[in-house]
Amino acid sequence: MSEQSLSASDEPPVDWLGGPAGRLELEPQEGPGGTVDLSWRLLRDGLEGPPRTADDTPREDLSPDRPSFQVPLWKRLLSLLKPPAELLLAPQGPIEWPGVLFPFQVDGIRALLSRDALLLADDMGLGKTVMAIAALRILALQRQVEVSLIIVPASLVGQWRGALRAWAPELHLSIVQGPAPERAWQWATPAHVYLTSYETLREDFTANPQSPPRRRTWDVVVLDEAQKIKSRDAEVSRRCKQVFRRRTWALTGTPLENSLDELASVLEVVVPHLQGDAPRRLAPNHALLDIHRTVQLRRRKADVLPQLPPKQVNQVSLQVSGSQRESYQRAERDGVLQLRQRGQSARIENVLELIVRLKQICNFCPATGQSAKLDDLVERLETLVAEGHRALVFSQFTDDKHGARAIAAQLAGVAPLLYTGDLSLARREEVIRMFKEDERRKVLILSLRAGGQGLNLQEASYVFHFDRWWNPAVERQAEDRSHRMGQESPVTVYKYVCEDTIEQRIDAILRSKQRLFDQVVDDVTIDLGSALTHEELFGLFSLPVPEKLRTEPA
Amino acid sequence: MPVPFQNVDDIEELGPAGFLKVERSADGAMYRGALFQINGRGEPLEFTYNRLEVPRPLFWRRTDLRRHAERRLISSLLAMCKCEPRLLLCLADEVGSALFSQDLRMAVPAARIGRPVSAAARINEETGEILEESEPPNLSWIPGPPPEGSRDRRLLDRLSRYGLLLEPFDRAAIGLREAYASDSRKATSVSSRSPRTV
Repeated sequence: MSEQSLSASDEPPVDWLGGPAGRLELEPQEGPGGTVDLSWRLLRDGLEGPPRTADDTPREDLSPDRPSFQVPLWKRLLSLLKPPAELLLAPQGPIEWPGVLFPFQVDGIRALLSRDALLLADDMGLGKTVMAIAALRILALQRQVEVSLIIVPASLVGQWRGALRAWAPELHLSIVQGPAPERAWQWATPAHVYLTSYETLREDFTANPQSPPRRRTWDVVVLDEAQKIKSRDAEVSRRCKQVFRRRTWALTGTPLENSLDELASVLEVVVPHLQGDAPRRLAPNHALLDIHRTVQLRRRKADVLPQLPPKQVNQVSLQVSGSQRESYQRAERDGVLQLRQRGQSARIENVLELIVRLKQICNFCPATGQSAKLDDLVERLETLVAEGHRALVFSQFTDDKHGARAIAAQLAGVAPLLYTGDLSLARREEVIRMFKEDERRKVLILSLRAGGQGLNLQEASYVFHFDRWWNPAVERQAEDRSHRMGQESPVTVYKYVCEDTIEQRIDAILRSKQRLFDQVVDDVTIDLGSALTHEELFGLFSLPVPEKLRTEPA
Repeated sequence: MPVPFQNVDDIEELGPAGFLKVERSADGAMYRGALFQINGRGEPLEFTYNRLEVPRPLFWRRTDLRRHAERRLISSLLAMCKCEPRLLLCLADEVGSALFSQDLRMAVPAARIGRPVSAAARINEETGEILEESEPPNLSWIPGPPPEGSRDRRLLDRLSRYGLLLEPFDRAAIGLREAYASDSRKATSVSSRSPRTV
């Protein structure tokens, strides 16, 4: 189409209609630690707007016909112009996600985004942690939140830290734990997300209105394993409910309907709580169930079955502390010293012996029986059992100090069954029959060698590797007791790794060698001694390889 | 010693993209427009808006009126904005081909995007391009498409890859609607006024 240029004298007149005409400028600011601050600053609001105030913020329109509750235009535009959640959640969208979000997870994230109070009560293994973090990330990128508080059981701090780093890497994180002087500094560190435990919050939320978790109004407060505050009279419950917050997301896999008292206590926190508000108080009566229905989003595994992969594997990173940490450090220190003293006479078997000893301590403290793994296992099993699921727990050890028998003794409350190689054939068959036929038997503990092959245990849909064999073929074989023909539920696998221990170091090496294991996927005979080179094995303890071993094949 | 490097996909380094949204009333008498600038993540950087009325449309050719109004409106938006976009994009069914080819001389690549269901008429001065992996297949560039490997091309590819070639127009429309929401609540007095210098 050919068009002629118009000269000025030919141009039709135009009227610039009375305002607004304007410009809204948004400038990301330098944030804490070199990160980009996620708060926007309004720089201009139009060329014909109301007079500017001294601090350069626009004065609100005070014309008499303007409703007093009207939100200023610039605030409305700030909200409307942000990238929509659908765009941010899209796999091809501008945000990169480290994994695929299933449709039900996207629905869960939408629910979290759209409500200021939600009890997310999906079955364990469906990704409540990921959904909460993804929603936080989107709200932060949309500039709807600036600072959030996440409260979790102490044993899950490490897991949440890893998940936050993976799923919301641009959010600056401050983990509040440790001695009081360190915590004071951690609370004061500028961050987008503060991650702490129930125990720490109970200590740091004091009567002083200036105590760190108390002095500010949090944009979002997330409570993981919210059944932790089911006791209304417990101090931790009271203090969690007093935290000032604009949004509350409570995560739990434990059904709460069976106890109105417990339900009331949890629901009391599932509501915004601003300064000046009286804390919510709910009567434990049947009217509670209506509130429960309103604020809860719950999906069972069966509800989202078609979306789930047949097997999901999760690594659970745990922090070892207290007497267990002391025992571990002492054993490692002494073991390394012995290896040094051996000098050139040190053999691979010596290294492997030390590894086994340390692995045993990662399971249970030899002095006190303390076990970070068991603490986590107990919590998860409580939830699973309450949901009606059944679980298998594998350990490479069978003894009553570090292995299957020790686990069984500590789980006496759920009446587990025990299957080890030293049982008679008849007894083994009886154990399997009891597990398959008696639904009240929710947990079966097996030694990896005896129970890792040949058995059909589709009744269980959760599998725990209490300790690692580090041969994927062996672990897969064990998981296949559950994940096999006839299994009607997706299988969720949990693998425990203790942070800052030999387990984590070996896991890191093996991950980097994953390609090797993919090539020998069916070979269950490869063990750690074969999987790692001499350099890698001695290197686990920062030791040089003895000269004569350098000439021997690994 | 740290090795200096530059992340070629650094969002800040790519710069902003500007999306021109133009709406006109059914009778062609009123125009409103916005220049919505975003970064490579779709995050808003600037939103500039304005509107004008072209009185007595009956006495002028419709095409002339439209062309003139678009030019005045878009000129005002470009004059008001502070961010300098590296790319300027508009919808072919909202902005005529003469805007960038004859009426305005742009220092940055400007393109009219044809929506998937309708191909846009292209004039000789415009250079066509079909993006293989994006939803809108037709872009008509003035003076020409960003060269391969250039920062502008990387910005365009990023926008295309992440579904940000058409979506920002929707947000701009929402912003315009909100900015002029009072139009629907009270009658606007349309009387002869002296034009304001913007």
